[in-house]
Amino acid sequence: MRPGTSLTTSAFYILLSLSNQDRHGYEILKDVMLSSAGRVMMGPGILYTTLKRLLEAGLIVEVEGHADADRDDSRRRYYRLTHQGRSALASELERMEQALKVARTRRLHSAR
Amino acid sequence: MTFPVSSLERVYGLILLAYPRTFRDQYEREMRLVFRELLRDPKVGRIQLVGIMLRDLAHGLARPERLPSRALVVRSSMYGLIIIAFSLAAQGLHPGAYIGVSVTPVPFIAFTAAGFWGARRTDTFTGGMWTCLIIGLVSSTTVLWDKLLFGIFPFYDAWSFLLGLLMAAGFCIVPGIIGSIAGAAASRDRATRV
Repeated sequence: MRPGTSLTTSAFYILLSLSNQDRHGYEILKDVMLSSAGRVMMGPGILYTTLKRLLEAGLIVEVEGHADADRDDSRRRYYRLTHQGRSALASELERMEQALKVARTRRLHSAR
Repeated sequence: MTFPVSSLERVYGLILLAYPRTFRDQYEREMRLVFRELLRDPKVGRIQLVGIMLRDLAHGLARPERLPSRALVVRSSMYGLIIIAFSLAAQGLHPGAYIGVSVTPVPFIAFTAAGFWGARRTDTFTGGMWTCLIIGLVSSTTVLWDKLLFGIFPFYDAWSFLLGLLMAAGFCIVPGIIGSIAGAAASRDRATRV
């Protein structure tokens, strides 16, 4: 994943899911379903290949267990967003916001 | 805590074989765990689950490293075009020889060599099979060129042409596999020697 390139849908939603807390695979899947209003439904195959890609790009890291001891499941690997991942997510959101602004303006124009 | 192993879980285990061994060594346990939880989730319906499985299968099979490089596609297509040129030249010089040539062991030898070359070049069995497929697809258009240039179409209709193509593909797949296995093995041998 080169700097400046846009994220894939699955990578974007995974980063978004990790933006507020560390999560394990299944938690990420559930959160992606929730935040995309059920539009993005990943299977474990797509989830873990994307996680591997994000790990290699340094956008996330694997962490030992969960910070919240009650939620910690030792069978799981937990993932955390890195500083680089946070900036990638922020620039992707900025790009989307910009596109949305343009789309809204054009819709206003065509409505006239 | 133990989980019941359903038939869908067993099928999913087979789907995981589409992923590379190194990847499975790293993530298979987690992937199975996540799939098991999806199975137990009342909000995820069986049809949705089958959709997930099919998408994961397609994702595993269509990994970028499995697709042929542009260079391999170009080179293989060029070999296919050379085969067409030879066939057309043979047809032009010795009309009627086409049928005789196509059923001789020439394709068998050619596709063994093609598989071997592709596998050696990419260091993978898949590379050899891609080479055979591309050469086969390009060279199979010879029949259409024959029709255009010489008015020859050795089939009754489109269906018998399709059947002929399938038979030819069946005939070429075995030498392709043999060549690809040999090429991949030779690459491994070369790698261990280095």
